[in-house]
Amino acid sequence: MDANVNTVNAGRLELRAVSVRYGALTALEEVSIDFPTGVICGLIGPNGAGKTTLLNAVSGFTQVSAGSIVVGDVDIARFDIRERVALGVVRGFQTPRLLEQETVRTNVAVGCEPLGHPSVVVQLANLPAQRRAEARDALYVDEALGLLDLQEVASRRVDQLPFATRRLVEVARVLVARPRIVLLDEPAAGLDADDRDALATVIRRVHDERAMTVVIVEHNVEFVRLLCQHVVALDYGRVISRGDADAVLADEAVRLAYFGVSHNVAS
Amino acid sequence: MLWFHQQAPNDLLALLMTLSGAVQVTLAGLETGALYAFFLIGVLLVYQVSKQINFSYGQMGMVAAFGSWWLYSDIGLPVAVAVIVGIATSIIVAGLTEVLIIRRIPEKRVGYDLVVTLGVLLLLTAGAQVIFGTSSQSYLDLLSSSRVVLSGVFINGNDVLVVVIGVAAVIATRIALDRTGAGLSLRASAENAAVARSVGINVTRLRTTIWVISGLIAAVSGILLGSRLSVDPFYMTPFLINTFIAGMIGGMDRFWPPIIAAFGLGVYDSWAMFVFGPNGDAPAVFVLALVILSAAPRRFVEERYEARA
Amino acid sequence: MTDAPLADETEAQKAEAAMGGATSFRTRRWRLLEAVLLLGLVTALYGGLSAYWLVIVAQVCLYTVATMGLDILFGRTGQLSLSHASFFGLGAYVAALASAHGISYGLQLAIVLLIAVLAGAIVAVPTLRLSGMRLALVTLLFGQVLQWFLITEVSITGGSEGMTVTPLSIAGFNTGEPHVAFVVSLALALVATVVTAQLSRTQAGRRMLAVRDSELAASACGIDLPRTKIQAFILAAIYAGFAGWLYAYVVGFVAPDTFSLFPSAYFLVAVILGGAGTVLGSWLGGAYIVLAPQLFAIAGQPNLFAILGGALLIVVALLMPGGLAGGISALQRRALSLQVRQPAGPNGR
Repeated sequence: MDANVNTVNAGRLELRAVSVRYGALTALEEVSIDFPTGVICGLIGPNGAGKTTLLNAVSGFTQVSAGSIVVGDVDIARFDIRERVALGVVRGFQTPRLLEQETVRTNVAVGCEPLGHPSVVVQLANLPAQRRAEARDALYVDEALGLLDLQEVASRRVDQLPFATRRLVEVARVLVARPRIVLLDEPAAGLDADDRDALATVIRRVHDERAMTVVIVEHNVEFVRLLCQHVVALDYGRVISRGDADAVLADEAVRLAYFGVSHNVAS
Repeated sequence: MLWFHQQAPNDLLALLMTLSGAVQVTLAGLETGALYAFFLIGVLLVYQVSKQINFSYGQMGMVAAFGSWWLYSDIGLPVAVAVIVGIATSIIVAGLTEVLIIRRIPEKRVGYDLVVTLGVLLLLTAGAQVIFGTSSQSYLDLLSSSRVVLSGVFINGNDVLVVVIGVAAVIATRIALDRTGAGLSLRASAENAAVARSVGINVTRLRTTIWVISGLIAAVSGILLGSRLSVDPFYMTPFLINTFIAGMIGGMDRFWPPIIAAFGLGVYDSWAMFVFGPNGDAPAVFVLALVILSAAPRRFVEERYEARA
Repeated sequence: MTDAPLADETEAQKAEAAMGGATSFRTRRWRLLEAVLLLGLVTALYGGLSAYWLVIVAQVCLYTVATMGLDILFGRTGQLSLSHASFFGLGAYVAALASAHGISYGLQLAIVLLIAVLAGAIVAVPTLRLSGMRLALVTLLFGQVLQWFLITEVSITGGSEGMTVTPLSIAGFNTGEPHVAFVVSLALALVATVVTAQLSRTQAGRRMLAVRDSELAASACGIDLPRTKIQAFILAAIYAGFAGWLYAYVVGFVAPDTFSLFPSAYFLVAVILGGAGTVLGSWLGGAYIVLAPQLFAIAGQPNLFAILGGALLIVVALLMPGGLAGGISALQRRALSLQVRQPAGPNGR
C-alpha cells in the first residue's frame, strides 16, 4: 500500500460542502474542512453535533447527500467502504469491535486485509504466494504490536484483557496496514486518567513514526489539548470554529455550544 | 415439466372451466392461511417480546396432538381428558423452555436461540418417537366429516372451525394488544425492554407468560392441523416452515402484514399443491422466498452497519 | 510468527507462549509423540477391527470431513445452515447416479465439484444480507426442496426407497471391501484435516472469523462480506459433497432419509459439541454422531441418540460454548500453567 502513495498528498483529507441528511433531519450541513495533512486533528462538539456522522461519512458507513470528500486527489464520496480502506482510510469505533474469542495477534492480523492476498485456493494450498503473504502480514502485525506495546499479550484471548488494552488492540488493527488517514471515534472513552495519558502517548508516538493524518472525535478536553495540533469544532452539523487547540477551546462560540455541560472548557 | 402431477393438466383445465373449482382451491388456501395466521400469532408475540425464535414451536403442538392421541388410543383416557392433558403438556413444555433454557442464553451469543430450540425440537421429536410411536395415526374428527355445499363449492365443518378460530384469534389478539393493560405492557416491552422495566413492567414474567401462551396456540394449532391431516412426529414441520416464511415476508416486528402474508401464503400453497402435486409446494415456496428476498432486500437487512454515536 | 516472552511475564502467560511458540523443542517432541500415537492407532484399527466396525470408522472419517465443512460455514463464519446434510446428499446421489450410468470416477469428481460450487452459491446468494432465523430458514427451504426432489422423482432417484450403489473399483481395490473403505476414507479425512488446519493460518480464515464475530469490524477492515460468505458456503458444500460421494461408495446405498433435516441437525450437534473453529472439534463431533448411535443401538436404546443430541445442543450451547475441543484446550492450559508455577496463587488458579 505504501508503494503507490503520492507522498506529497499522503493523508490529505478535505471535505467540500458535505451534507448528510436523513429525511427531514440534517446531521451535517455544508461542512467544508481541509484537514492539515499529517497532523493530528481533534473533532469536538456537543452530543448530536455530527462528529460521528462526519466520521461515518468519511469512512463510508454513511452516504453523503451532497458535497465531496477528497482523499489525495480523489473524490471518494461515491466509493464503498472497501474502496476507501484500500485507499488508506481506516476507522476505529467508539466501543472496540473485536473478535472476542481470538487472540490479539489474530485480531490485529484481520486488519491486514488491504495489503492484498492471493485467492482462497492458493491460500488453502499454501503455495509460495500464500507463504509470502502470511510472512508479510506477520511483519506488519509485529510492527503494529511493537508500536502499541502489545507484544506481551499477543497470544492472549481478547476477551480476557482489560478494557484499555482492548482499545489498544483495535487501534493496532486500524494501524496495521499503514493507513494514511486514521479516524478514531472517542478513543479515550471509558478510560481512566492514567490509561488516557498512556493512549495519548501511544498515539503521538505512532504519529511521529509514520506519516498520517489522524482525525479524533473526542469529548475529553484534556485529551484533545494533549494530543491534537489542530481542532475543528462542530455544532448542529456545522463548523463553528477551527484552529489550534487553545484557540478553539477558548473560542466564545465553542463555549456557548457547550453551555450547560459540566466540565469547564477553559480550564 | 417433470414436476407436473400426471393428471394436473387435465384437472387444471377441468377446474378452470368451473369457477367454483377455482374458488374451491382458493378457499382451501384461505383455510390453511387462517391456520397459519393463528399459529403465527404465537411466533410474532414471542419474537417481539423476547427477540427469540422458537424452532421447536411446531413440535410443542405435535406433542399436544400426538400425545393426546396416544393418551386416548393407547392409554385409554377419555378423549376430552386426553386433549386437555395434551394441551397442558404443550403449555408446560413452552414455559419450561423459556425459564430453563431461553433465559440462560448468554447475552453476546446471537443466533443461539435457534440452536437451543433446535435442540428442543430434537428432544421433543425423539421423545415422541419413543413414547407415542413413529407411524402416522389418524386423529380427531373435529367436524371434518360434516359437509355443506354452496353453489358447487364444498365447505367442510372443520374448515369453518379453523377459519373461525383463526380469524377470531387474530382479532382478539389485536384488540388485546391495543385495548388492554397487558397488551400495552407487551408493546412497551417489545419496543424497548430496558425502558419498560424502568417503568415497572415485569418484563421477565411477561416473557414467560407469552411463551406459555404460545404453547397454548401451538397446542390448538397442532390439534386442528392433526384433525385435517394425521399425526406423527414430523407432521408439523412443513407447517412451521411456512408459518415462519409468512412471518419473514410480512416482517416479524409487525402484525397485519405478516398475518395477511399468512393468508396469502396459504392460497399460494394451495394452488402450488394443486398444480405440482402433494409435496410440490416445497419448490414453489422456495422460489417465492427467493423472489421476495431479491425484490425487497432492504426490508430484511439487519441494521448491522450502524455506527451511531 | 513467534512471540518473544519478556522477563516479567506471569507463569500462565509463559505457558501460553510455550503453547503458541511453534519452534520450541518441547512442542516438537509432543507433536512427534502425537503422530506416532496416531499412526499406532490407525494400524491397530486396521488390523484389529471387524469388517462392520471398519466401515463404521470409515464413516467417522467421512462424517468428520462433512462436519469440517459445516464448521467452516457455521463454526467459523457464523452462518447457521440447516441443510448441510443436503450438500452431503448431493455428493452421494452424484455417486449413485453417475455409477449407474457408468461415468468415470475422474469425471464424477469433477461433477461433484461443480454441483457443490453451484449448490453452495445457490444457497448463499439469497442469504447474503440475512442473518439468524431468516438465513436459517432459507437454508432449510433449500433442504426441503432437495428432499422433495429426491422423494418425488422416483424414476431418477429411486424415491424414498433409495438406490443401491455399486462400490467404487480402481486397480483391483474395491470400496466394498472394508479395509479399502477404511483407508480411502481416512485418506480423504487427512487431506481435509490438512486443508482445514491451513485455513486457520490464512487471511481467508481470519475473514471468516471477522464476519462471524463482528460484521462491523470486518467491513471496517475492508473485508468483502458477501464474497466471504459465498466462499464459506461453497467450501462447506465441497467438503460435504466429496464426503457424501465417498460415503455412497463405502456404504453402498443412498436414501433421502440420510440427508434430511434431522441429519442436518446432527451435523450442527457435531460442530457445536466438538467445538467450533477447530480441527479437533470436527473430529470429535464427527466421531460422536457416528459412534454414539452405534453405542445406543448396542445398548438397546436407539432413540436415545436423538434425545441426547437435542439435550447436548442445549447444554453445550449454553454452558460450554467452546465444545469438547474448547474444554480440552482449557484443561491443557491449566495443566501447563500448573506445571510451570508453584502452589496456586491468590485467585486459586
